[in-house]
Amino acid sequence: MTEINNDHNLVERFNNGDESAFNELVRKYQQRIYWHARRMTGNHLDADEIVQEVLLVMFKKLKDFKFRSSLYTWIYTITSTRSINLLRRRSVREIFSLQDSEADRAADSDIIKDLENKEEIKRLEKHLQKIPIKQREVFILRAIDGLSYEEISELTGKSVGGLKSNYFHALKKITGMMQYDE
Amino acid sequence: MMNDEKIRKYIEGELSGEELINFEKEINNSSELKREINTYRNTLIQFGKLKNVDAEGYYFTNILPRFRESISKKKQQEFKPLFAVGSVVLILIALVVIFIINNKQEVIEDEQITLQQLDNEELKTYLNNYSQDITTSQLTENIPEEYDSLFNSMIVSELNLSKYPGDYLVDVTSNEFNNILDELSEEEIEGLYNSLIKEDFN
Repeated sequence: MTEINNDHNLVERFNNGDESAFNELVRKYQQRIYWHARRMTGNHLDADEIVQEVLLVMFKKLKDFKFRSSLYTWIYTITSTRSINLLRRRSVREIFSLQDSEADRAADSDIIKDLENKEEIKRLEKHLQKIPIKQREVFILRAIDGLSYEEISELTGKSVGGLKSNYFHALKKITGMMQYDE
Repeated sequence: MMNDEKIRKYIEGELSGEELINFEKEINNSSELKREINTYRNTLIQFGKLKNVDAEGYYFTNILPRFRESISKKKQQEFKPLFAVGSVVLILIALVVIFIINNKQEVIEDEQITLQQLDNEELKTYLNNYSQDITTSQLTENIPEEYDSLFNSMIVSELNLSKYPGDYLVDVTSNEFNNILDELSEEEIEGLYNSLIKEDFN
């Protein structure tokens, strides 16, 4: 409740012309935006592009935000939509060979500091890319972010039953891929 | 499929009571089921590593400055079309003004050139055509002195004055004429008037 009130206060301040309130909001949510986009797209460059797009949408549309949901639900929806759009654009470009392959993007600059686990992290991200987008989204929110189905339902607007089914399908597929790798 | 849902519930801790006891018995009796559940748990443990990835702090520190920079660039880009349109409009206005000024100068220059460069025949035609529409001073003010003799001959011819000696024909402007009148007395003017009305110019 305190977090919602704090968000409300920051949004109100920003809408009244206080740019520092927007900075605070960005600092508060930037990591969640980045990591969700990163897990959805599987690489740093695409995630970075999405972060900047989400911030731009926030900057332009915060004045229309009426707190019918929590601010993070709104930000999450923007992040998710942008990620899915980017993935669709990417798949179209890849079909027509207009964009770098996955391997080329993966070789691009990254921000992961943990060199020991870097390869392992990239392997897991690569597995995530191989399951359908909707299953991937649920799997990320449940298995990595640790959200409850109710929270995921609030974020995605999908039924808890459907989410459970999607999650288990994703878990089975990824487990299969990991076993095949070994 | 039925088993999938039970496995999911078991992994996620949603089974309880008798349902949990029965399923655990089932797991203990089936090495395949046990192995399957272990692989799922292993997958989840692996993906749990993605939860706390140590990332370079500079990236997150720079997100906001980069965003602010892109915003200001966008604002500049938004301004550019307006600036471009404004520039084009200003250039067009300047071109129109220059065109109008040039045109005006050409007309004036044309008039001056025409008057100064006309030969005798052309000048006669010009005077015949336009002398009705303009005053004498307007007609003569820009005409060079070398045309005086031509005007004299034209006046002599027009008024049939060839029988009179040429030295009384004076080329005067209205100002000069008024000056001459000012210098004459009333009697002299009366005398001149009387002699002029008696003169037969035919």
